[in-house]
Amino acid sequence: MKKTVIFHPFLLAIFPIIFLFSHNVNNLYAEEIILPLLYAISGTFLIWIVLGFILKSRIKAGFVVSLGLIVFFSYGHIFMLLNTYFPIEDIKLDFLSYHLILFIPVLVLFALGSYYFIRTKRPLNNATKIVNFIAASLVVISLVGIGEYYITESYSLDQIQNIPKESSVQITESNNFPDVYYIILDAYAGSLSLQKMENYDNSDFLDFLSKKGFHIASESFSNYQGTRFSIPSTLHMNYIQNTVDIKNIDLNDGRALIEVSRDNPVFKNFKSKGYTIYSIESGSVHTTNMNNVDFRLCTNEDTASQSEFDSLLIETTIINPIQTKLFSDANREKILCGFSELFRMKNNNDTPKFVFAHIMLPHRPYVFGPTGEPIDSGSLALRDDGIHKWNVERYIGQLEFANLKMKGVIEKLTQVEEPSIIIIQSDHGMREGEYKNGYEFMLRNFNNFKAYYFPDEEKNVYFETTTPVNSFRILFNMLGDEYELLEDKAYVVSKKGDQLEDVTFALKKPNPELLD
Amino acid sequence: MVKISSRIKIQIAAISLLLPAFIISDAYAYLDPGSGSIVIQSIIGALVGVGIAIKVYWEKVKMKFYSIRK
Repeated sequence: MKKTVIFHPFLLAIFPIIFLFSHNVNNLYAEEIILPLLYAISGTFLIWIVLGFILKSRIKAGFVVSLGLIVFFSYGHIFMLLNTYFPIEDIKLDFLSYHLILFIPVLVLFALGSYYFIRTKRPLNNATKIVNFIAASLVVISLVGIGEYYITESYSLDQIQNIPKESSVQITESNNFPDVYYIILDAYAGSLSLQKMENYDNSDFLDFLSKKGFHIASESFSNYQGTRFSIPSTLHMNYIQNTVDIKNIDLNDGRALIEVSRDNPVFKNFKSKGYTIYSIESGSVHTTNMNNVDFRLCTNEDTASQSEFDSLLIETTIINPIQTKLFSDANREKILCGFSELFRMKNNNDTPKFVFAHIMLPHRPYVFGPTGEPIDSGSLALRDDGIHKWNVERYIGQLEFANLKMKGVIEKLTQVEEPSIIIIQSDHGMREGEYKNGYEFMLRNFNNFKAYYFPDEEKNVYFETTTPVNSFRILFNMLGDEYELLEDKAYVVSKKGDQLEDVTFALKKPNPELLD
Repeated sequence: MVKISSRIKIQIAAISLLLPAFIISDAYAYLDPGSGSIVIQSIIGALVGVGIAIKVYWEKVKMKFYSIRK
């Protein structure tokens, strides 16, 4: 008799991971899924062997394990889909009660299914064959999607950039430069939108900065409303459509933009001036693994925190209801690490340093209260997951905590013999929340935070009124370079990601007072 | 009360018309769970299963029909 090969449990174990990768292939690197795949395969193997021993049948054990895997990996998806059609807030249930209503039937189905497979006297050889094919077809469909991306849409860096790529950085100049700190507080809104949209007065922090010698750009705007465009354009000192060849590149291809961020002229220029470069990472793919960095700090490995992919994968599993309970601490530790590293930076006389810090605050997920107390918002997602809606109190809470931590950092950084250049500039506005008209939309998305501290005030020209594409042009000019300033513009990106529309006029007028 | 000039009104109208096409979600580029897609993919998988089941049990089904006709 032909022996039945049982491989469906292993395919069903890897399918959810491969599917998630396939669905987000243009924003992920393959190495992200290696560990989850290894864990899934080895865990499945172990449980299957043990269960096979207990049930004295590997075929039966295979079915019970497969059923368990389906329940484990689909629970989060079912929860999210259910919430789309029957939102928690409409049903007026709390998060855990909603989960309980779903969890009990899922558990009962699993128990009944397992009971059937354990007790049945029927040979399950044909059923194994059928389920093997189903599982294989699921994996193959996802692999085709991944293959298609790698064949048709994966670009090399040379194809992406329409500017010449320097092969190596030549260090030519002396090191008589000040230290430079560039701190990105992700989604930190400017005071204009905080006041106008949320009636929040941030003057306590602004006054603190002013007393420390900072200038605050009161009507600052970002060039784009998303990190993936803002960061590469800032670090290329140019608009993204001038930096990447948008005729050939799909702007939806996040990986192309990540590559652009990583290989940027700002870091190269600092390097060529003899700077030591520190990159304080947030975990965001847009600022991780940057090229030309001497010291990477607060990496996912350092802080034992999850990558965005790991976090999303867990969100889709049965661990969903307790994800924040299990992983919020690591998330908080990662954010605190960023502030700690800034605080620990020493004034080193040997070489000047450029510190590039990306801190995921006050951006989602909401894990801190105003004084740093841990809070559980029920989600660790960076995106609006459709379940945990915009919550201005939580956003302001994290903003106030960012203020608190930044005060400590600023106190420390300004207490040095040789003053540093410090730029605090968010990549975009608060972005979430309701808006009644186009101008309010622009305020929520583009009104970012910008404060700067220049020791040599005479050289500070135009910084207050310019947008992030010019920030490093001005800064390098202060260090002796001669960059021309670009015209300040703002762009919205179409939903398909294939168009950029100039909406600069909407930022300048109408005056918000006119809309009162 | 401050009057809104007609130029500004046109600008507001222009932005409002523009917005539906440019209100983005995808452009933020956060990873997406793809819950809808996984359901569709699972349905395709189930259809494959039905096809294989028919193939596997075809002889039995045929025999059953044959015996009924007799």
